[in-house]
Order: sequence, then structure tokens, then C-alpha cells
Amino acid sequence: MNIKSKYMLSGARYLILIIGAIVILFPIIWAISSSFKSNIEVLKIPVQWIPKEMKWENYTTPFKERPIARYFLNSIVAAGFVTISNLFFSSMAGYGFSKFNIPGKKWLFLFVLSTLMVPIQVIIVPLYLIINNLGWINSYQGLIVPLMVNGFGVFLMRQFIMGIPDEYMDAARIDGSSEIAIFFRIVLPLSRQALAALGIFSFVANWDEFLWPLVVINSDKLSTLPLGIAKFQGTYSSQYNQLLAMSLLATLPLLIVFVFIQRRFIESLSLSGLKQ
Amino acid sequence: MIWGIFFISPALIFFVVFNSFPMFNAFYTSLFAYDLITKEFISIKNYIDILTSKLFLKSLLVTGYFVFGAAVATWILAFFLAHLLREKFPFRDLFRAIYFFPNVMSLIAISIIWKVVLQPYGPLNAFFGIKVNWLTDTRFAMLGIIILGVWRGTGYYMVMYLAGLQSIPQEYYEAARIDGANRWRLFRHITIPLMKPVILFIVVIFVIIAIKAFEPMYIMTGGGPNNATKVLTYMIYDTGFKYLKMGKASAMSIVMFVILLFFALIQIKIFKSD
Repeated sequence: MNIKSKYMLSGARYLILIIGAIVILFPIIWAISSSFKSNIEVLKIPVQWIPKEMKWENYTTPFKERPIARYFLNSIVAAGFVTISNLFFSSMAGYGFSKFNIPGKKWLFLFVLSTLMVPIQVIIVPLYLIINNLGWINSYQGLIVPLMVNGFGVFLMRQFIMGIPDEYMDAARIDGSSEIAIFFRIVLPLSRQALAALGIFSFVANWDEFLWPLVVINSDKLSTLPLGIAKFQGTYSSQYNQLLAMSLLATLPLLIVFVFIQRRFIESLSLSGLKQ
Repeated sequence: MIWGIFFISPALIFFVVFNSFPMFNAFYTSLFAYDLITKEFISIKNYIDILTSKLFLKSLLVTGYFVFGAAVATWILAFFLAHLLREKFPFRDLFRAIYFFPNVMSLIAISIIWKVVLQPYGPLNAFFGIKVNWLTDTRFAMLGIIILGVWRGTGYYMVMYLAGLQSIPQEYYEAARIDGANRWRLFRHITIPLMKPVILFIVVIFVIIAIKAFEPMYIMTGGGPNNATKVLTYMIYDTGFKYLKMGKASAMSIVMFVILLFFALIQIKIFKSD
């Protein structure tokens, strides 16, 4: 290939990539700009990319009219709790499955994997009935408990812990460590990488969880952020500027995670493809 | 051994209580007419009802339309982009990050943004100088949601393709280049055959994820207009939690499970042959 055609090729590549990038960024940048507009300006033709006047109150008024701060808190509590318990129970189970002889281990592990074939959409009615019987409708327990462990986490931790040499645990056993101490002092620290990936994946997935909160929560006080915003949308359906502002705010925590750990974020999400 | 059982039991007990038991219970409940107050055994009547209900059959059709409509565009675009973004060149990582970016945003947020973008006087119509009632016209509502799906999904599946492409040893390409193969032949005779399992795998994952879609429809169209976007999950939600027909909703869940199981079995088959 001569130099000229090589340049043309990379020119074409950049052109395609830039057009694609514009398509991706167009709605986002438009939403950011519109979140500062007056409501009439949002749907004005031709599109106004720069607001005439920056309406910062689009970001503050909804906080006064709705318990948005509370939604944030609820989401952090729910996603945080689910993530921590998922990390804890998945690494426990992963350790058990990878380093111990258990009768019927293969079948028990297949059972864990089989839970991945039953998504929440399929069992939403019985789950609701169970939580209803426990009297947990409209409660943090109801929001959190049914999502506390997931088969993907157990699978991921097992794969990872299998790679830790047995010598580490054996050495600690000879030194007289208890099994629980070995788990906390050796297995968990050595699994940092996998725990980080699973933690990110779990937090992001649960921050965005919608169907289950929609079913189990019907009080405003306990709504998570996605649920709260969906309701906000129902009530203020034509306040586009404020709606966009709140939507962008809801994305902020995920964005922060993304900026700090971009590489690992993408890795953990591409891992999550296996989850299905 | 006892410690092994100690470590795995919390998770196993959890799965039995919150996954297996509900699964069986969904089947059990599907044999009843149950509205949270009265419960009456009616055997398979729920199944007969839904499989002869125009609304439910339409919902299956609508789900299929969404899945395959979004799938074809996403697979092709994602594969194409993964190719363009494979080798190292200036700004490559920036482009990768941009294409992936919609996946960093909350799905509810994205649905709201697109809902406004697709308004009759919104920026999309303004940009193309058209006047389409994207979300209120039965012909276009699902198309509008498919646009969102493709817009978001492309970056996600691009990353998965990139992971697959990385597993092809560079030596294959070098050897073929020495033999005088051009770009197209490298693509046709090395990339495609070696990526075949990855491509199939991604195709099935996409289908399994898309069948469960709910949020964009809930936010953007509320399942309308005239149920044109009432996908399967939406039907289950409506039947169970709006009309309180728990038995019927469970029967729908079981139908959904059978469909998902079918694709999961294909996935397992691909995994094994890989």
C-alpha cells in the first residue's frame, strides 16, 4: 500500500468516527444545554445551542418541590447495601466452591449458574408476594433483600479465587489461623481486583435498577432516584428543562465512577455480558 | 468440607428463597385466578386466555419487533466500529470512550432525554427538517425506542467485540500479509472465521437482554400509542400490578421464561462448542 492511499484510508476512518461521535454526543450536549434553558426555549426551532440566559434554578427548583435529595440518599443506601452484601456473600461462596471439597459441588455450582436464567422479570409476581407476606412492601428491606446476592457474582469470584495458589491458605493453616481468619486476611485481600470489578458492576447495575423499586415502593419517601425521576416526569411532564436537569444529575454518580476508573469500568461491564 | 459448606450456604439459601422458590411459585400461581384477595384454582385457563388474547400476542410481536429491529443495526454498527477502533492511532481511546459513554448514563435519564429529543418540535425533527410524531404515532413509536436502543447499545457491544478481536493472535495477520493478502482478505479469511463464536455469542446476549427491555417504554411512551410499544415485561407489569391479575401475570412470566430459556440454551451450546 502506498503512502497516499494510507493517508486517505485514515482520513476516511477519522471522518466516519467523527460523524459517529457527533451522533452519540448530539442528544447529550443538547440535553446539557437545554437543562439551562427556559422551558419555551427547549423546543424552539431552530435549535438554540446556547441558552439566552443561564437558568440555574432548573437544578434547584425540583429540590424544593420534590424530595430529590431523599431519592439520592435512598439510591445510595440501596445500591450501596446490595453491593456490599453481594461482594461479601459472593466471595464467601466463590471461596467455598473453589477451595473446598463439598459433596455434589458440581451440581450445586450448576444450580448457582441456573439462577442466571431466571431474571427478575420472570419472578416479579412471586417476589412481590413473598415481600408482601413479610410485610416489607415500602421498606428498605423490601428494596434491598431480594437483590442481595447474584449468581454472576458467585461465578466471577469462584473463577478468580481458583487462581489463588492453595499454598497461601495451607501456610496460614499450619500457623494455626482459623478458617474465618484465612478468609478475611488472605482470600479477600488477594481478591481485590475481582472485588473491585464486581463492586463497580454491582453498584452501577443497582443504581439503575427500576422494575423492582417500581413494584415494591409506592411511597415518595422511599423512592430511589430513577423511580423518583420517573414520577417527577409523570407530574411535571412538560417541565422539560427541569426534567433534563434532574436526569443529568441522576447520571452524575455513574459519571464519577466512570472518570475515576474508566478502564476497569469498561472491563467490568463487558464481563457483565456473561451475566445474562 | 464442613467449612466449604459453611462458606457456600448463605448464597445457596438465598438463591433457594429468592430465586428457585419464586420460580416454582410463578408456575404454581399461574394456575390460579388470584387478585391478592380471592384465590381460585383454574388449571391452565390463564395460559389459554393469554395465548388467545390479541393484546398478549401483539405484545409478543412488539417485543420481537424491538429485539430484532435494534439487534441488526446494533450488531453491524458495533462490529464495524470495533474494527475501526482496533489498531492504535491518535485519539483512539477518546473515540472508544465517546461511543461507550451512553452506557455510563442512567437508563431512565437517557429515556427522558430521548423522549424530549423526539418531541414533534424537538431537536431531531428540527435537525432533519421533518415533522414526525415519533412517540405518538403507532407507526413510529417503536422506531423511536429502537433508535435509543441502538444509540446506547452500539458502544456496549463494540467493547465486547473488541475483547473478542484481541484474542486473535497478531501472527495470523502478519503471516497472511507476508503472503500478500490485502485488508479485505485478512478480514474475510481471518477475522470473520475466528470471530464467529464471539459474534454468535454477542447476538444471543443482545437478544436475551433486549427481550427484558422495559424502562424506555415505560418512560417514553407508557406502552402506547395503542399498545404499539407494550413489550412483554410491560404486559407482565400491567397485568400483575395495575390490574392485580397475579395468576395471569405469572402465566405471562412463564411464557417469557420459556423464550429466554430457548435463547440461553443456544448460548450454552455456543459456549460448549467454543
